[in-house]
Amino acid sequence: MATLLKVATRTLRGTFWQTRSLTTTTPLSIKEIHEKRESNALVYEGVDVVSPRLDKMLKPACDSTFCPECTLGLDIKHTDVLILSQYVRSDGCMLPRRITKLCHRQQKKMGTLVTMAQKAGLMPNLAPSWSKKDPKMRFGWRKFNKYFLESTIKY
Amino acid sequence: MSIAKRVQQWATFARTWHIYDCTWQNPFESASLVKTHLMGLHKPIYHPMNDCGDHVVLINTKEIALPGDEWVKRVYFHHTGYPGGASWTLAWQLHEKDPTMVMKKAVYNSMAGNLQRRHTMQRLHLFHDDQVPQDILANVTNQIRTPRTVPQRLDHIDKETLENFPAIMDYPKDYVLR
Amino acid sequence: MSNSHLFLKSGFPRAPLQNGVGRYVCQLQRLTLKFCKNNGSSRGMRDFIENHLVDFAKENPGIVVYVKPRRHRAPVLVGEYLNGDREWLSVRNSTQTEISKWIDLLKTQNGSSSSLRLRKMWHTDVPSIQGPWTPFLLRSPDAHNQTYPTSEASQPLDVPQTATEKLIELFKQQQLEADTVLEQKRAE
Repeated sequence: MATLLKVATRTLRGTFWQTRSLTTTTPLSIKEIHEKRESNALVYEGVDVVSPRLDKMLKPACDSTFCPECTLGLDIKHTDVLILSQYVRSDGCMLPRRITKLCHRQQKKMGTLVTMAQKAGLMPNLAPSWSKKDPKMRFGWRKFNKYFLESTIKY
Repeated sequence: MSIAKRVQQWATFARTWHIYDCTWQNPFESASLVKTHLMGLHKPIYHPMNDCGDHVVLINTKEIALPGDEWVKRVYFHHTGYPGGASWTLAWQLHEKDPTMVMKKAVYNSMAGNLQRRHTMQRLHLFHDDQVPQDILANVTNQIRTPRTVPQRLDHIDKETLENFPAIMDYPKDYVLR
Repeated sequence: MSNSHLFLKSGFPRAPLQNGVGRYVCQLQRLTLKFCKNNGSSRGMRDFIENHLVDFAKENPGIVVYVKPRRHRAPVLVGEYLNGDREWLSVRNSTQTEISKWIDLLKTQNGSSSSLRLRKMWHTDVPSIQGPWTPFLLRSPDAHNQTYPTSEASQPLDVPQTATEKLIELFKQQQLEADTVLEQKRAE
């Protein structure tokens, strides 16, 4: 079973590396790993899906050079969880720069903002599976409400 | 004094009751607001020798928010008076013991240390949640606006807003969704 | 107001019983002139007593005038008023004219002026035309029927547009533009 998974991911990674240099605005095929149980065997399957964000994309964001601050003039705070959650995986990890396509400075800034939002407990549903999810259940002083000042971001 | 004038004078000097929701508020920013209403500084008739302070009801003091890591940086000092009787309590420890204490101390310390301060504090009513006795709630005629907006949690945003929210980043080709 | 004035009586300028509206009642009831017969500091006082005091007493029958000689002391004017005030005034080395001016002041004032701190340096029968302030002044009428606490009344008034709201606004604009383009195509 483990070998099966390895093979599947290898093929996926292979296709991914080949087409990385092509930046497109056309409908993208995105893969999702499905987990199936078939009589004592776990089967992992890479399924082609249409991007859930396809018809919700803002036009300027489809350009290759897009930056929420420079292009749209957005002053993103750590409380704008609807924006920040787009740069985050389902386990709460920040996506890398080759996927977010942000400049270095913006990537750093977004990363800090995402950390702030996570620490403030504003995105508890985007967390690892072993997480308690409820910020009120955190240990020690972390269970109390806290907010962050964007002026403390270095980038 | 005519009846109209008497009623008018009663209205001018009547103590009004304000309510203030501490949810996601900085206690030290809120303290200066609350102090203003407690001492009557918001009234044009204010004078230090004029007893015109109002009552303020603070609710949800358990839900106050401190910036950054101030929960572990802010320390409350107490000394029993005996040798070795000094103790330092972190803000979060104090908040865990008594969820109204941080707010109360913030208001107390925001006022000048004069003889009036203790009497002014008698007009402050603190509640750690939103369960306020009905006889107190019946007096309230005004709500003080908070300086900070309450942030919305991602899992509390309704489904419709979540689905219709515009995207500013699409996944690259052959991206594996996780 | 300094600390030396802490125990000084304070008040507002006022006339007792609106004195002078119907008739005038002189508020000075007794006037005592204390002086020395030999000392140089009482010279002006002695001149006043010789030349003007009898005329003053005749002109003001309502005021009882006492003259009290005493040896080797400075001259003093003491006025006693209808409201019980007593004003003591040293007129050492003052001339005759100065003393008559001081006596004129004592005669015309309502009570002891030096024992009252004026709270306000003005007086008006109509302190405010729009009426005094009350807590319900300039409050919106629908605030009366509210039951507090509410989340709307708690929110700050001047919140700048957040990035989230701005993004939604931009997206709506984009959708509107797309719709207009579609309609144009259909019309063609």
